[in-house]
Amino acid sequence: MKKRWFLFFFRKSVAQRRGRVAIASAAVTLAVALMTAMIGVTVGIREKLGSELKAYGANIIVSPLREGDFAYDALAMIAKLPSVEDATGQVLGNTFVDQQAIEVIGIDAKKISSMGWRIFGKWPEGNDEILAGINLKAALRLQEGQRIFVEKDGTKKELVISGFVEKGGAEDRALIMTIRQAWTVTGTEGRLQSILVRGKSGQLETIGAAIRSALDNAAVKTVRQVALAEESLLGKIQLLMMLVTLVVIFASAISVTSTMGANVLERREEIGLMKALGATRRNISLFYMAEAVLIGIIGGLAGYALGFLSAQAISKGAFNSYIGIPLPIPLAALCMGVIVAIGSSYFPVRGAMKYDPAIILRGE
Amino acid sequence: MLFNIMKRSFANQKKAMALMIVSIAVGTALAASLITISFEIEGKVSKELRSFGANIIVEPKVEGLADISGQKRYLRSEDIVKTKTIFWRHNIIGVAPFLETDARLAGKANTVDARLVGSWYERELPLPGENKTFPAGIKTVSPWWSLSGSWPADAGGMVIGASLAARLGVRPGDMLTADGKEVTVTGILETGGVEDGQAFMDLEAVQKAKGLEGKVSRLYVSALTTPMDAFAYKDPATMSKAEYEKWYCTGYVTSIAKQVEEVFAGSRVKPIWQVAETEGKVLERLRILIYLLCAATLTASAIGVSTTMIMTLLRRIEEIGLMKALGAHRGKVITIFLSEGMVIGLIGGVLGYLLSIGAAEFIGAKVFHTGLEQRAILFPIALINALVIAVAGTILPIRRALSIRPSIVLKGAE
Repeated sequence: MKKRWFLFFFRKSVAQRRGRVAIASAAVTLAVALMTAMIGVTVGIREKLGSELKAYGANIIVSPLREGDFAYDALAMIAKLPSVEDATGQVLGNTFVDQQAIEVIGIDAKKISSMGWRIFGKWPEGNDEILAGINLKAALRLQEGQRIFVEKDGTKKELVISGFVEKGGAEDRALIMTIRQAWTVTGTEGRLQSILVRGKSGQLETIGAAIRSALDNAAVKTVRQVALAEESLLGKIQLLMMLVTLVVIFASAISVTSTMGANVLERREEIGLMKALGATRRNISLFYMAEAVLIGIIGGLAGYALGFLSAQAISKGAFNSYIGIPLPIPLAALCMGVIVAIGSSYFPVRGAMKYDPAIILRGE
Repeated sequence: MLFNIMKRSFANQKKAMALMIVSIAVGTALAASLITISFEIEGKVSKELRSFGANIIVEPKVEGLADISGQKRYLRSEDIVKTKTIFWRHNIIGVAPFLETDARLAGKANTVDARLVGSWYERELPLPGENKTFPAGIKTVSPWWSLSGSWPADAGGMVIGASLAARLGVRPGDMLTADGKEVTVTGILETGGVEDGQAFMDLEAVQKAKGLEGKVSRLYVSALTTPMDAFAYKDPATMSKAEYEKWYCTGYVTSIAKQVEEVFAGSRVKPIWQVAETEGKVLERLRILIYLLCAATLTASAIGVSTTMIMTLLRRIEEIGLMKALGAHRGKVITIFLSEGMVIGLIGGVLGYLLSIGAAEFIGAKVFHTGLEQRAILFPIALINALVIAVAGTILPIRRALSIRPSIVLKGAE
């Protein structure tokens, strides 16, 4: 078959059977879309769920070796280390209310909302407003909006309790305020007593070593509770998604195969006619493969677009943020489309060629 | 006659029919296994999330300055088993008591005043009113604690936190003196938390040594909970009677905490919000994710099956033309093809359901190490799903075929 004739046949065939080519492309589109969306979500889920787990808190705690504290600059330095997602400093100290020693915790106010604390009452807003642990409410007979006097080393300061914190931990017994407020209350301007670090799970050892070499008086501890549970949970969810993706890929491959198979079954007569007219096996399979490649390219491109959009829609719906789809996926989608289309028409075409043209043309 | 036509139709086009049945079976299997997973995922992940540790803390109720001034109050250890008598008792999967005291420990290197904590590591407690036991102890609430060595069975052994062990200069098997008494170090504990600086003994041994028989200072409870929603955040004190009942009988972390508080004399029970809230959020996200995936997959597989059906039926346009030329009514043609479609749908549905059992079982075993519960309700759902897809996939091409004049179709041009 000459090239010109081949192209002529090909064009005619596609033009006359537009409906069928469209349906076959639709099948490939759906399969590729499903695969793209599933792979996109599977790749993105670790990061998305990981950021939900942030509220479990820091997975590394840096505290001073022996007695001592850190300069405020240490915080910025740790935050800049690789694989560190977040770092926040804490001022720990105490003050006296009615001659009673009360713990003081100074934290970065912007981080509170992501810590999973339950707040009763108002957020502290002014310079003198703070939160009190829920246990202090009964102990000191406090109310929302109440003024209290704290006293440390002879300096007195008036503060307003704007609300209460319930956490189920040490914070329930302490006064919670911003770092700046805590510095004035405890009289330790510019110092931090503890730094909480949130590192990428799996990288904790490396981060720990980096912190140790940067700060000579630092004791670095990995919080096993957070680190282990997180790793195991994320691993399981990702495995689940991977298996579901596998099932989906398998199912959509079968779906495409059956559509393409039906397409070729219908054309057994055509194949018989071609053979009767003297076409070689090679000619015939080339012809159908060309059609499959066309369907694969159309389906692959459309499928990628559709899959990308659905992955984003799913991510937006479930996690309220978009996912970044890794670069190789568009290319993979195109390849997937072509491979699926070729693979699914190869066997039926080969099968059709086995028949004697005389029998097929007689219509049996 | 209808039966006869169908029989011939199936016998003559085995391949085409097989393709349609396979396609429907796979589509149905995909849908059914995803639905099975979505039913189960919340329960399974909820269990997984419990490895983050206890979500409820039980403390003695304190008034006035007693709490912060260090005046000790205790809970009664006889109340521990009562956590298994509350409304949501089956959701309580772990409970561990702690009795905090101080002791002077003298090791090889140093003498240190440290916190001595009495607790259980693994303990079977009798289930009230039944002739059974339930597991309690640190292992049930804090599975991440890493203990090298063993937990002491009696007053002669002690487990030392990793940083405390370094200060004391002791290793498992060494002897040290605690308040003047000789004990063996049976294990070293590492948690990354305050426990690394503490010493641990069996609860009863500490109670006896300190004269605090039957007393514990804190209790951690691990419970499977329903994620908190807007209703759950309402203050129970402001609820109407009906609302309160609904709140009390839903497994929110707050209502379970309330029920635990009711059985513990002199206690104050709080959720550990960090754990409880994150758990709710993660479950919520996963649920939405699975629902969206289900919807996307269902749509895609329905359309995918339809394309196969359409493709197969299009080649039978000539057949339809012949039927019409022989005088068949629209209704008759539609009946024949719809019945065919329904038979295909039925067979595909049953096969698909069977396939989905295998798929869900496989995924469940691989990810959660237990099978997923198959629900009988899924069978009719799978069948209806398959039938609807098959019928929809039949009607579209048939309608098109019917609108074409027989003479043109039979001539072989569309």
